[in-house]
Amino acid sequence: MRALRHLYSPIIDQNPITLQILGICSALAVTTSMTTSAVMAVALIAVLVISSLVISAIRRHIPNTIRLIVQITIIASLVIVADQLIQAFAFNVSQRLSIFVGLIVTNCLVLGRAEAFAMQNPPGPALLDALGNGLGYSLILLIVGFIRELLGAGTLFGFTVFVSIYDGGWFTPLNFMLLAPSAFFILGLLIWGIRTFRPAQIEPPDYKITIDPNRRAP
Amino acid sequence: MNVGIWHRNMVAWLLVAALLPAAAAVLVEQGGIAAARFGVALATLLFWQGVFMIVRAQPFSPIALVTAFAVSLLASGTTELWQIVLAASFGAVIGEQIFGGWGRNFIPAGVVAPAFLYFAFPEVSHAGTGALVTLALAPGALILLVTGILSWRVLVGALIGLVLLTMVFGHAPAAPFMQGSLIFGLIFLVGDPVCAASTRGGGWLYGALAGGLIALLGWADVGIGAPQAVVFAALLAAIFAPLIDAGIIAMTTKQWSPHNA
Repeated sequence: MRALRHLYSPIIDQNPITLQILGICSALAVTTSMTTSAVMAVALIAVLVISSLVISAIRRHIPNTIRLIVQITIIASLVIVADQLIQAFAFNVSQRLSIFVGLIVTNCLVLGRAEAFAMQNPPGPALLDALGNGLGYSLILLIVGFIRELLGAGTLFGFTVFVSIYDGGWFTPLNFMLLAPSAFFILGLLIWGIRTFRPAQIEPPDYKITIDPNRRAP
Repeated sequence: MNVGIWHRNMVAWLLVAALLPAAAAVLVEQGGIAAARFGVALATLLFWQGVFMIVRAQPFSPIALVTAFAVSLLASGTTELWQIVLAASFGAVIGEQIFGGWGRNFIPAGVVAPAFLYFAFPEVSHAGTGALVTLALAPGALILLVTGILSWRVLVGALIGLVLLTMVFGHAPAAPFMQGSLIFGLIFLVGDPVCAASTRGGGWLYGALAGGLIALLGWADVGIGAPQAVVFAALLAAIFAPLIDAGIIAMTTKQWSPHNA
């Protein structure tokens, strides 16, 4: 049971996006719709799991001085395969994801787990850790994608949920939700919400505001 | 607590007092719908102040009156009152309350709320108000200048930037002053005592940046009569204000070092 901790703890308690603030760039860029969020999530889980497994399996054979280069090479090869697969089987989605599948190479999450966990642990726990982190990332991506697509276009996975005023319905799409800043706000509110229920995640403040009772200034 | 009369709420009440003539002018120009927007915005803002009063013990502030007025004036095209509720909620919570209430925010809530409306509902067209409001704003501006709530450096810097760039774009320098909502934004949003740059040199720089941005966005993009120009200029300038202040402070403290003594 203790081994399973690697699987479930990154889903909320050690969530890569809301606690470690990793992989923000893609979380902003691809979450305009559920379809792109889901494809991106699947691609990232696949790359993360396989790369962690491979790196963990050969961790004793990687020379320490060039370990980052070896890790990047493995991750980049997997990303190319994932990108080609998406282009082959879901060309429209690959057009909408544009460069962000390719940019999984530079996603801090993948390299971060390889460097921090897979290099020190055997393949079994490394696989669970990668899967857990991938699921935590996917969970946030899908939540943000759900809110943005539903409020920004009135659809989910491209299917109409709320009929917009342009088609004679009642729903006024919030154009703001389709712009990148909205993802920042949603992520911020999510982090706020999670930390309200899990106060252990709150960092100590860098500065404390104190008011001197004898201060004469306003 | 020996804080004198210049308490946070005193500043807010003076801002409200400075608004009264302009509020009357807007009521004359736009009539009941402006009053309805103001009422809805005020009710929303007070609701959120109440929520944060209960949850975080953040005291009420009369600044809600100023924010509600800003929303009702700058969102002049919005007739759907639920959109006002949404924008006012966003402005109050994201712009002000989560930072600890008015006085600790770094962008005025009166800027955040209209900016949200412009992004969320781009199809609604908003119009500015006429010269009557500008006239009505003059006594209020005078009160704020005399009491020092509105920094004269910020105001003069902004006017210089605005007039200079207006002339560069080949328009009459008096043209921006015919737009009541633009002048309102200049005095109450750009000159907001919390969010404007607070160092002396920073005030000039910040004012010139804001005024220049108003002219640039106004003449080259949305049109000088559109309230978008002044709201986005105030938004950008407010984001740069802490950087400007930090730069001025760093330069000043560098001059104090024995190296230059």
